[in-house]
Amino acid sequence: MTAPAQPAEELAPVRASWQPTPAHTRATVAGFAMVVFGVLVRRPELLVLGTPLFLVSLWSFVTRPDRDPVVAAGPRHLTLREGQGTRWVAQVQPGPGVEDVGLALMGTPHTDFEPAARAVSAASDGVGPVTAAVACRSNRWGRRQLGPAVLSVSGAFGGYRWAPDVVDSRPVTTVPLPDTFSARVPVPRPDGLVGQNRSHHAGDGGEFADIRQFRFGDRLRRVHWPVSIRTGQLHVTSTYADQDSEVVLLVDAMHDIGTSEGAGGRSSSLDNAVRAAGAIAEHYLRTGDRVGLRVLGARGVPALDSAAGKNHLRRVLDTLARTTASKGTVADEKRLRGQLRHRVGTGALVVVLTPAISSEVLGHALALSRRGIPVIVIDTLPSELASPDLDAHLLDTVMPEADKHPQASLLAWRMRLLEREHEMRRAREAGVPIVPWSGPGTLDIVLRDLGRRSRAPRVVSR
Amino acid sequence: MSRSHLVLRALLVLSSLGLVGLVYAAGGGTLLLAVPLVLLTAWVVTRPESVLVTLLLVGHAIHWVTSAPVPQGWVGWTWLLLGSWLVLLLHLSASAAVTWPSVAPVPRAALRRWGRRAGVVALATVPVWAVAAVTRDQSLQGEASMTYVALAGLTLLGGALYLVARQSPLTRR
Repeated sequence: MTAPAQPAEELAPVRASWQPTPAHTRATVAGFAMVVFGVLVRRPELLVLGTPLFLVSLWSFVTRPDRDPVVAAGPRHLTLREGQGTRWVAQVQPGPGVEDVGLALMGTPHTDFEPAARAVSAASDGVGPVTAAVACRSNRWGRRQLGPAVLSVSGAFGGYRWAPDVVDSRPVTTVPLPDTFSARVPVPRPDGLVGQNRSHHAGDGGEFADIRQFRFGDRLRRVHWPVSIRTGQLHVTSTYADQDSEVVLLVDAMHDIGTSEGAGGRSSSLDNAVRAAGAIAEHYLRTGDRVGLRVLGARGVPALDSAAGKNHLRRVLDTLARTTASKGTVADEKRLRGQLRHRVGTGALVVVLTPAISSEVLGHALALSRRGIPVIVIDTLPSELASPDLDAHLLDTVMPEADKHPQASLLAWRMRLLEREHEMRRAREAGVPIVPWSGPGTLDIVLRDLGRRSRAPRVVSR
Repeated sequence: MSRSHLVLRALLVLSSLGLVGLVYAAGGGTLLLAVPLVLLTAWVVTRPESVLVTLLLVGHAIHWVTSAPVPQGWVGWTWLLLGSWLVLLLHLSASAAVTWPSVAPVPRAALRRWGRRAGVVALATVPVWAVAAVTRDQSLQGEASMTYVALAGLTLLGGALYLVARQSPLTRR
């Protein structure tokens, strides 16, 4: 799948200068030396052997380019979706000396190239621009630079070469391809302006609330005539207001557990979290709700305040694409503590996407729940890793030193899973629902429970 | 490595080994030089961008001049013409091998262009070879002083070409 093409003018210009090549120097030095010595020592063999080299050198020199070529290079698209492809293109305008073009790209993680060797050659026909292109397909969300590339333009007999050191390009953002997600149950306590969720307040809406006596300001079309005739007093039908809600997504990037094979392959915990967050954001933004995003533990990823609309979906996906897993340093933990001090609006639904390895994040979910904020935790740990009996290959993906100490690593992973179970049980007992990510309907049951619970009297700590 | 680059490297090896064989066919050849040249060929074929290609070319020339007798008759001169073409082939195959990425196939249009030009150079060598053969067989008497004057002129011409190349606005940077 290739994204639609954009004009080549967006490619960045590349600058360098023509230089004689070692091959030209070789032909000049060896040819000249053979001819001269052949004449000097009166050996016609040297003269004849050196003549072709001398002629090649002369040819290259006479046809040497007198101005730099116009070259533009870079990826055709700077934003892709997972699984989408683009082309890394070098376009050389025809000019003196422009005959042969070679392009080679360095490897990029989570990217497939066509040709697989990541190198192409092209020849000028002397009329149109020469285009050398390598097709690239991004398999995983993220922000990566394709390349850098090595580019060379050569003249006659490879005598002169125009070659910049390396051609860097702007990083390409691959936004996550959101999983399929839908939720039929509305958010528990919508508290916005106009939306599609039934609020607890009476107002203009589609859902029946009750039949009550007419008050000043009620619309005549709301009059319920059967009851009005039976009772002798005007009665109207009242409805619940339809309001939008706020969904705050908290993505736990403190750990990335498991192997990431890109779109269609195995997913790590951070893959699951990012794709699930994208899916949830897409669903709620399309239904007119407001979505906010915070990536916990990641450096350089801005927090997104809640907003609505298609442009905001683009912002959410771009922000998710910039997510990188924390390195677990002290600075990262300090940053996490700062990120956990955020504001949550009244009536907002908080969705925490975490592999539940970091106790701080689960503790934060618990604290929010105690404040009376509806919180749902989505467990993003890949299901195959949630087993205490991992085989050596899987153990290697969760414990870095597993190949050196397999028994100790397995034991450590079991202990970590026990702690995780304990913390999750504690959270559940405190009223925080934890569900594994399973695509459509993941949140339906817990949202229904949260809706019931929100209508019941409760004690909250503020 | 692409198939076309394998062919280029095969041409490099064949031309180098062919030069060694031609020296023997021309009645010369010494193991003292032939063996290092074969070993150098094996090295150069893996590193065609290396400066050792120059050494290989010069080595072949030295091998020929030091071991083979001055050509006598048309057979000897024919070996020499073939030798000059093999020198051209060796140089061009090494140059072509570094002009494009080795893992990418060489465009056919480029191969045709290089082949056409190589043919022109090979043909342009023939008059020089013919003049050399004719003048040698006729044993023309020459003026030693005039030879040195010609050499000096050639040196001056080479120096002038070098200076022009250095002062060219594109090669100055």
